[in-house]
Amino acid sequence: MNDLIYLSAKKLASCDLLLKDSNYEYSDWFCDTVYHGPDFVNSRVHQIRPPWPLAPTPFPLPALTTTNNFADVMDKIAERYCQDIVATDKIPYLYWSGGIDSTGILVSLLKNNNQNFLNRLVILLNQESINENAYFYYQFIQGKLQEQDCDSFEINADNYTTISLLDGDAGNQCMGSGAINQIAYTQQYELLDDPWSDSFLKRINFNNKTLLAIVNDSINAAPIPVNTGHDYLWWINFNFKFDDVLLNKCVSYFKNLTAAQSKYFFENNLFRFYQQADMQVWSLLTTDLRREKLKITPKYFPKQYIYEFDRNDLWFSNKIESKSGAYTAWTHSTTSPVFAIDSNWQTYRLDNATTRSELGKILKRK
Amino acid sequence: MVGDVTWKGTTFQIEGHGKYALVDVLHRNIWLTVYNETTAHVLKKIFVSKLTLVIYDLSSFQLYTEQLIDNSVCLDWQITLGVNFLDEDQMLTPTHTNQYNHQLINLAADTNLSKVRQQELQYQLILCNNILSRARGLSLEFKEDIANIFLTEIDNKVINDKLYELANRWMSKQFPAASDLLFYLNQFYE
Repeated sequence: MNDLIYLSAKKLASCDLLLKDSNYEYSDWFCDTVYHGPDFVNSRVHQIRPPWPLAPTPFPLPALTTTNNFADVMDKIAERYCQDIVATDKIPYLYWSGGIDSTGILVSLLKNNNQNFLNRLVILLNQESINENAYFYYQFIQGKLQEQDCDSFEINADNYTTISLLDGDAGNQCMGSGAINQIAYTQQYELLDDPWSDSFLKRINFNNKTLLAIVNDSINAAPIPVNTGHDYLWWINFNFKFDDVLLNKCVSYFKNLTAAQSKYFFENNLFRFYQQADMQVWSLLTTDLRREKLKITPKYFPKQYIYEFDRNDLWFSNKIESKSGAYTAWTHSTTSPVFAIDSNWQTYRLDNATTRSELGKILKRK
Repeated sequence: MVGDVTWKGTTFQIEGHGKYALVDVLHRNIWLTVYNETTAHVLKKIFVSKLTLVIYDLSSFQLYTEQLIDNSVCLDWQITLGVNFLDEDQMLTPTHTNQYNHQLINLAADTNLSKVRQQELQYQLILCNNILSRARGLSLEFKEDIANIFLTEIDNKVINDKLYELANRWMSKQFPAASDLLFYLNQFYE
């Protein structure tokens, strides 16, 4: 077990309750913290040293350039993606949960209006997706685009070189964080507006010394100043959770693939819209703007982008951020015995006694 | 009953009060009160694309009386900030009672919708409730067609037009439910 790019501390802690015991040497890595839980996977700006052998992040921060407004960034990514796809024979599949992130992507693809692309595009959805945004489904998907039940979709040895999978993961990391939304919901705006400080950390109950030190180190290495409480919570999400959200579903996506096939698909045919460099740069350069607009509605920018396309004022006003838990892909990732992935896309499973034994040595639990 | 409401040429009665409140998760205001707990949950499900709701038993508040909060004023009432409805456990609770001693306060919610648009959305809820609870002999299929219009459409005129079209389509096979619907729409003789 070497060069791990992903390890679910949460999954391990749910099996071995003593990992959270305060007397255990590495418990800080497994204990819940208020806003980011134990799936604290990797830093994108510096090397962290958890007890397990962690490889450098596959998602280093892009170089800071300039940015456009959110709509232009979305439109440009869509244009690039559509052009790339139509230059190949690949079939593009979009996971559409009906939520804000995936609807934003679909809007960008529809706005781009590349008929060659749209004729090929397959929307992966289920009834929960439709319920989440029924107006959008009936106006823009049904009868106009190809659909497939997301629960029946699988990547396998027959299709992994001929399809392209598009998803909305890491949208939360670019737009803000659940923690920020929770604070905005309770209208404690001063927590978000004021400079972060020890009293701020106390108010959000963040007292895990190991993780606090790591966050401080990362802030020193950040390409932009992390000033306010809002910046602090967004930075945790943007810097430390990016790997987690982009890798945990791969456990499910790649369940039928070999390590080599997984690596190929990850590098060539998995397109994460919000991972794109221009989107990340937009996020890095708009912290103040996002903090202000949050007071109108969480995830203001993607919601406004969608509203300008579909004119659904009710969804703009009332839609709340929620987990896209409907997907089998998500459920499978959380219930699968796979708990770690290395840089060659070898997976490590808890139902393998030899792996457990090795893990026990690494974690000093044996 | 607190009287009739005329909406886009449609006149219907507002159900005066009921102890089950449809409470907005995001803005905490009360969109509607109904007598029947099951009805409250059905409406919550039908409007899931437009509103994220939790159901509250208002009788668990000391302040509450049926005369105090009826559907003509419920938009001006909300449940205090202490309730974090965004919490997953809260959202999944079937019917809330005031076990945490939260307060009912007479204050309109601060939302991105204008007052007029809020009232239009409330009318959609009322109309849906009236149709589903009062049309005689509704078949499951007819109910689903009606619910789907409220699930899908956001504009009141479009909803009205689609209900009219639906009722006409069902007149031959679902009588008297379809005629009840036409009467509710005030379009039986049109």
